[in-house]
Amino acid sequence: MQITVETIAPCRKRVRLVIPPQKIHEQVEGMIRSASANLQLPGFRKGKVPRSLVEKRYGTAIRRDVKESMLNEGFQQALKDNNITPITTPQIDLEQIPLDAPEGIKIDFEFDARPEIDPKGYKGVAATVAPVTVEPSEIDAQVAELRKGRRRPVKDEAGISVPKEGFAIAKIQFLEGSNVILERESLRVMAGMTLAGAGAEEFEAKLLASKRGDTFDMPLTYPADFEVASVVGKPGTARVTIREVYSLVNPEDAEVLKDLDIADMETLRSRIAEHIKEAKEQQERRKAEEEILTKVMESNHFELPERIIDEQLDQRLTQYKMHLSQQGTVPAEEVDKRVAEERAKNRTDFEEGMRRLFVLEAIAKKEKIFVTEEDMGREIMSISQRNNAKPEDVVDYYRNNGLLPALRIDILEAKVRNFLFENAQKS
Amino acid sequence: MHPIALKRFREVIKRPLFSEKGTFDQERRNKYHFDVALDANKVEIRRAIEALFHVKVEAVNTIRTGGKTVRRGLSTGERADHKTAIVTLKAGQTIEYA
Repeated sequence: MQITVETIAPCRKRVRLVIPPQKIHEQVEGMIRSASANLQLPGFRKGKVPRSLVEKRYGTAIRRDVKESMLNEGFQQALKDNNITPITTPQIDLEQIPLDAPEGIKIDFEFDARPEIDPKGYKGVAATVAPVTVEPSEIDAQVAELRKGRRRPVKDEAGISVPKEGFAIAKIQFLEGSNVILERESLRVMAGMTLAGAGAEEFEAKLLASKRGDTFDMPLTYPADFEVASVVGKPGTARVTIREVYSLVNPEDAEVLKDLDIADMETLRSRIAEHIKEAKEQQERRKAEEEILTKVMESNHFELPERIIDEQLDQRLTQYKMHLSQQGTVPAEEVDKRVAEERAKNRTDFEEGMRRLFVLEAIAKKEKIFVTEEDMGREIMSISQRNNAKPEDVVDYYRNNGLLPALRIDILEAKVRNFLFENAQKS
Repeated sequence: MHPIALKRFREVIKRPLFSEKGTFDQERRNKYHFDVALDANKVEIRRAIEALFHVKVEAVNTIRTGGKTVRRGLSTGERADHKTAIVTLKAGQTIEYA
């Protein structure tokens, strides 16, 4: 078999296979012989079906198999000899290839290959990792947040107006003219809330000015989803009567400490400081990794397979288009325009993302960084813990949605980033 | 050929039979095996073969086989009877199945 590979565009290869008729004949004969030896037909003992009958019945399928296996063999050989990793499968119409031609088979096919990258300049990259400090004010802010999250409502007995950081229990009557058409009791109302069909600012102002026992009216237009259909779209009034007023009171330090099961404020503050430090360090590390990666990308230039970028982008944008059409919020004639805008906006980012992925994979290959089953297991455990799910369910979800390869790539990317960071010159 | 005659010929010759013995007969003795209608006689079989395959028939031999009794648990039944024709063609004549 004669195999020729040529590069016709960046990352685009053309393979020419020339298979002599003798090889084809040998293959077909071999397949028929092996089929006769294993075939079981009624009326014949195993292996006793005559060759002519096998050829008559299964000849077409056998010839198709021979074509397929020879093409596959040729393709694999071409990849192995030229050290090519394909990213698309060649499209070949087997029906169009005559097997009985006296000069044998001559097939040309094209496919996209992974860019050939010999990664360089990725070790000892200079990166800045700023020292991390935690200011007391940051700890104070976190402590205040903890207190805020544990505030408890205290019923007002002194007759104060509804506080901004509090709420009221109210009765709301909806009126059409002077007739009550709907009444709701024990509703929790607070600043920032909206009453459908009424002005939000006016509602907040009136609410914050009200005390227990006060009543105020809010003019409104009944919205489309109002429970009483007969008044929809009509003007009306919401009469709000404040029954009770509650303020939110911060807990004492002792309560916060008891809730968090921490002995004293000093320990709490030191733990908060640790968390903040850890988060900041992670942030610094991410920044440094990004800096390293940008520098690595600058030292590695290569052409990208344009067709793949377009295909992948098309796939994403088709989903985006479907999403827009299904949502129905964008007029039909606007959808295509939006998609075109999105394409222009995303293409550079997408290209950059693919470039990074190829470089990271090339580094992984060169440095023999692999994703092991252990890595996969650890990641799945971590996902299951984060989402409060069983590991088996996580695996099923990823498998059923075809996301396991993407997960593997994510882990590989993280490992290579880690490798680059470990081997960088940090200052 | 009249359509009624053709219809009858097709009823007479049900299908060719392929077996080790049949293949041996076909390759060495120019004899072809067919599953034929139970009520078909040798003359009819000869005419049918000659008309359907455009060949000259030397001889026709028939074998009538009774269907076996089969049991499935408590119930018993019987397989259909069938008739096999072994048709010898004149020298130089062959039948090519599609």
